[in-house]
Amino acid sequence: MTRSLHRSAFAIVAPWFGCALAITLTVTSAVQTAYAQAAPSTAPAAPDQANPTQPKEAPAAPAKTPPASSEATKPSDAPKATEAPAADTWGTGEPEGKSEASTPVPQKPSEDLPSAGKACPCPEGVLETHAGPAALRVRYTLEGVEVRGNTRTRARVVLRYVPFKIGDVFDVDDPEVELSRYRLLGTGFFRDVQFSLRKGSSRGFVVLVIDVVERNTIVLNDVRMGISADADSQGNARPLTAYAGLDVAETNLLGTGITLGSAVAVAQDEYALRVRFLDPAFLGSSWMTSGTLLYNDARDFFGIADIEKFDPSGTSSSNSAVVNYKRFGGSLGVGRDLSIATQFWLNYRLESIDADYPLEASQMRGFRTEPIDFAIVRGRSVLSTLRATLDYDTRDQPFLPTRGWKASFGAEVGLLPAASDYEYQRIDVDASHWWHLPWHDHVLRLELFAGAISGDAPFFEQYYVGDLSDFLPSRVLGVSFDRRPAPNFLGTDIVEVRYGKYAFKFSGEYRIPLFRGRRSIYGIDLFASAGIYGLAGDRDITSPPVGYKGWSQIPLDLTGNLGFRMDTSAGGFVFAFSNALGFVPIRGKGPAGGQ
Amino acid sequence: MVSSVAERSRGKRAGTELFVRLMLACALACAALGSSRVARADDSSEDDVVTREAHFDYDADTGLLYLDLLFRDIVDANLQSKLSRGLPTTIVLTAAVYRAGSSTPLSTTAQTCKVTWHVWEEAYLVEVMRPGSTRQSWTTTVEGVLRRCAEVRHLLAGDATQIPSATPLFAAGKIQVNPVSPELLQKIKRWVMRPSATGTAAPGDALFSTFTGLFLQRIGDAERQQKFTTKALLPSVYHSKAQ
Repeated sequence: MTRSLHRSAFAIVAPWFGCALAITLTVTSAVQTAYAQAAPSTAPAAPDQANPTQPKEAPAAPAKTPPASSEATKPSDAPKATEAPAADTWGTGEPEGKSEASTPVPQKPSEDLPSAGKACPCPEGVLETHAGPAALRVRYTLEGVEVRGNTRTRARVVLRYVPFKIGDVFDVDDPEVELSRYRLLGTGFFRDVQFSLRKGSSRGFVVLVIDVVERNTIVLNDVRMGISADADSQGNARPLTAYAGLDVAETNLLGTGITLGSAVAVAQDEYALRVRFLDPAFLGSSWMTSGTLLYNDARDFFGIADIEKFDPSGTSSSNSAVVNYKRFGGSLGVGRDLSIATQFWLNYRLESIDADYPLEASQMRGFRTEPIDFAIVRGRSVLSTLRATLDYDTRDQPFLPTRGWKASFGAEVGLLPAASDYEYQRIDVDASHWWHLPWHDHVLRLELFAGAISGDAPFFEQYYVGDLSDFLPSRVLGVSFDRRPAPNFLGTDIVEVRYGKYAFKFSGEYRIPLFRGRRSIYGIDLFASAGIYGLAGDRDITSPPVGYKGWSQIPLDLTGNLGFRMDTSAGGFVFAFSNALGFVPIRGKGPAGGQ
Repeated sequence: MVSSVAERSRGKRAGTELFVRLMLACALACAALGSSRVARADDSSEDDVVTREAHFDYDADTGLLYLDLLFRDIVDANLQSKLSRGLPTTIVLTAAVYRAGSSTPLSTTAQTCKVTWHVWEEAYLVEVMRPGSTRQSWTTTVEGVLRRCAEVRHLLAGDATQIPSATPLFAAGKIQVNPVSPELLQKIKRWVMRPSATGTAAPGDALFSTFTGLFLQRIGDAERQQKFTTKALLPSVYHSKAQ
């Protein structure tokens, strides 16, 4: 009986004693926390200082006793909701700050707070704090950054993208943490990147652990295939020939983060090679460096009609006057990101050129026979230039953008003091803007390109009609594979122009999304584009071809394209019909063009 | 003249060849479109709408409608392991209440739960935010996290001015894990599109996406997302003041 009374008394007293003990511990911890908060936030607390009597597995009332390394938000930072309680959305019907125990929803026992739950039968909610958003901010002092899982990529390459330094206050809510993770994924060196924290050597200190899973970094940048109409070395037209181009790069050379790439373009009796490197952080700085080696063994085709060539062997006629030339050289550049959307580059280029072409050649230009200007020095010559480029890119997607800008401004000068045989200056502006239309996710793009060259630029540095018209193959690695003139839909003297020093193009593209996915195929869009362009050399302005009158003396033409753009896990593909349509004999002709 | 005739003849042959090539190109494009339909089927996992059990309570005294919803399965083993990495994990529920058979929302509600493992306290700081209020608590177990974040109890979902009485209702919405804010998403996409560290190819090059697009497409609005709907139910009516 006595034992039973004792048991009953114990049963009544024990919970209250437990509660009192818990409250005592809580108050003690709160006082200690107050002391800890009075110290600088970066100063680590001694191990177990905050809860000296508390085992690690069972922190006593942690909600009321924020960890030593956690900081309470200043009162001024507290949201107004806590000052004037907003409408209660907890379903309690009670003002903010009321214990969860009073909610009509029954709570489960607090098995997840073992110390509190086992020590006292108090409801779990009693131990909870009720505060405004971000009342507790978890911060530590960063003791180190550890990179794991990198077998090829050097740790310093990974750390290049992580802005946190040893000794920094590390706020787990800092958006820079997630951004850094995406930066690392964006390099393409890794298939997966995960950040985590582990304890440092003393309380309040942590080590940031970066786990990476590397991926294949050999990438296929570009593949091009097409058909063209060219001529043999004597300028005689040949049936359709095929051309192809391939661009491959290792983007993480020996784990250094340096890109080493090569590209090749091949057609019958012509080829071009490129080798390039890019160091995104030269000597660990924020400057980028790049270099390119090039070799072209190619030919180009001049003259539209009634070509006559004069060589020591005699006079001959053919479909084109051919320039056979070789280019060998390279460039070095330095660049820098001016902002997340802006990049600046400065490039110096030095090339040796060896060109061979008829001693003299003439063509029927309009109704008059005129000499052909090959725009290149016969034999050996040197090209030395300095080029500055400013890029601005705010597109939301690289292949199927729906909004944003992509603009580029470039200026280039031939450097005579550096023994260049070509003195010229060139300025280019290219700007595109995408609009997401309010109906059915359609997209509209407008593009404006304009460029001007003054001086004596070699022909391969001048503007090429194939780069402006979609109906002709554009140049690949600086080589033009096609000898045909522009389609000339407007009946202007554009048909007489192959290379020019002044160019513009204004075009629009309308895209209709057909499919959106997330795995193998990200998107397929039907697109149609149309535009107008102009191309002229000095002679086209000062002395237009005879036979053209009025507006037809302005070398303008229309261009357009139709096809599908497909963004896939294997890359972006364009299935366009303009290149093929360019062979359909629907082109207009000038007075003598194309005859 | 002879060469001119010969060239014209070659031109006609070229025209025929081109017609054939054009047809081949069309066929290729159609094949691509055809294969995309298969891809659409593959891609449907995130777009699937899951039917979840829910419960509505209507407080006749205050005229407020409350929602109970469980989604513990969203926190799978992989996500549970991430909970203790020391960095915040956020689980967001957004839902709208509809009259049965209607697609016009009557009201909306949301709950955000942020879980941060404190590496020194070895406890989870759980911050649950509902419109107008925030509640923080600590727990040492994943079960505690699940109970706070994946069991939504008594979430205010509407009031008498929005919800007609004695009408079957259902809720529909989505659950997101680690959603990315539109601003950060835009910043990330720009960064990823032009990572200065790669310098592989200019965006717009034919196969630029092999590299970047592959990753770019994975950057969705959230690390994980699930759309859900519930069955239409009549709310249980109770009187809070009487209790």
